[in-house]
Amino acid sequence: MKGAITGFLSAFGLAPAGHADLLMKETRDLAAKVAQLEERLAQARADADSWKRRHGETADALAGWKQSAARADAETERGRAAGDRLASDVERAAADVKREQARTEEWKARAEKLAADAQDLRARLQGSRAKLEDAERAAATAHEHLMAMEVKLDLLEAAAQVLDLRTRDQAVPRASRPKAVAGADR
Amino acid sequence: MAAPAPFLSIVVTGRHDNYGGDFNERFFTALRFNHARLAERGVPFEVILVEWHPVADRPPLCELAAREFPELIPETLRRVVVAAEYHAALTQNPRIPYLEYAAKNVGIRRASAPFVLATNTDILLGRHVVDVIADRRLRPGVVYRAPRYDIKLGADQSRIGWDALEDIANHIRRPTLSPPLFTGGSGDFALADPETFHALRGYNEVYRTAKHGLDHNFLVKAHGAGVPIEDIGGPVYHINHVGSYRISKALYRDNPQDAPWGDTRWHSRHVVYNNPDGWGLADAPARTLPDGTVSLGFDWRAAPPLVELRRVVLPIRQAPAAASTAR
Repeated sequence: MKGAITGFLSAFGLAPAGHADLLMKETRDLAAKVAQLEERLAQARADADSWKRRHGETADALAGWKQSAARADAETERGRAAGDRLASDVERAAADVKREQARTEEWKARAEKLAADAQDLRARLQGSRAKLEDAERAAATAHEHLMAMEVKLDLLEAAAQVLDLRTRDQAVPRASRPKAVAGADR
Repeated sequence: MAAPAPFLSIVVTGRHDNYGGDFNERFFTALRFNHARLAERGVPFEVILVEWHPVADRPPLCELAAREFPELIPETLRRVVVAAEYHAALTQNPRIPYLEYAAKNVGIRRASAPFVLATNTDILLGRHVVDVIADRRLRPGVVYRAPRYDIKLGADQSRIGWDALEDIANHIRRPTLSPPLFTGGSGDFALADPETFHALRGYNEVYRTAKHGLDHNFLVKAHGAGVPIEDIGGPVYHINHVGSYRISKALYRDNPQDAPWGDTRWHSRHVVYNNPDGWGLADAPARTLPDGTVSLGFDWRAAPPLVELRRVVLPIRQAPAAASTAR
């Protein structure tokens, strides 16, 4: 019966109140879902914008990276070239070092020989200096002895003169000689 | 009451020969001055006047000095007259009429005080010198030297005092002495204790052909023997006179061998001496005359040989032995 009534009323576009409430509730639910979906759609749009923006940024960054990579490649290339040059420089320098080491060895050998020669000369010089000092001492001693000999000769000569005068005094009478003057300078 | 024992013996030598024109006056002036300065500082001292080779026909200087200073004889002014024969026996150069350093040795040998100053008759002691002596600041084993400031000829000697002597306007020369020998006019001032003089055996009596340089020679020997030589710190003064070596040396520039002080070129700075044991006529017979004068009579045994070459020696190598064995 109830179904018949309901069918009858639905032919007139009417529905029972419970049905209407249910429909109303469903309608509200649907509206809420629509709002929710709209919100999600807006959210999705915002997300899409965000991703779009991020994509742009990423693309920009990628382009920058690409440029950087290109620059880095160029730098690497330049570095490689410089490295090659450096390597050749190092090779040359190594050769130079080797050559200089040989020279150094040669000079070292020469220096050692010169040092040995200098040592030898120094020893000879010291020997010569010692000999010179000995000779100077000997010369000084000889000079002193020479002076002593001269003093002794002075004395011998003076004694001979005095003895000669005394002999003359004995031989010649005093009266015949001039008298010494008192008061002469001392 | 007996006089106190002397602290200082001052040895001077001279004779009545008018050396330098007014010898006696200069001697008496210096003796009067030095006596007054030492006495006022309370220094007991004796002056030993050695008259060497006295002039035959004149009164001895010792007699004149005794007459001039009766208050000083016999103890303060001791007089020694050396027989003239010693000069004749010792002389090696007839042009040298006076063996000054042999005469000084006579006085040094007979000094009785703990310190002996060998000086000259016309030397005036300076203020600082008297201070050092009076304060007993002398040390044995040291030869003291003092520079000699020459005072102008004609400076008034009648009222001479330290103020006048110290006035640089009156000075002709003011030498400074330099180590190690402090030479320069050293015959005018050599002061030491008697032991040091004895260790060195006085002045050179071996080399008598010159008297010049014998004072320097004494210092060379002292230095070689390791005896310290010091400047006493103040000057003595000397009144210039004619006939002094400094004034007269130019007269003999061309004939130095004729100079009355002998040839100055002898090696007095390098060659020294070792006097015999009887240096200073130690063995001469002495007789004291009534006036207190000591007369040294002649005796060949007291006179050194005319020549003794082994006594000519070099300094330093012989000096330590001589200094330790001498006396």
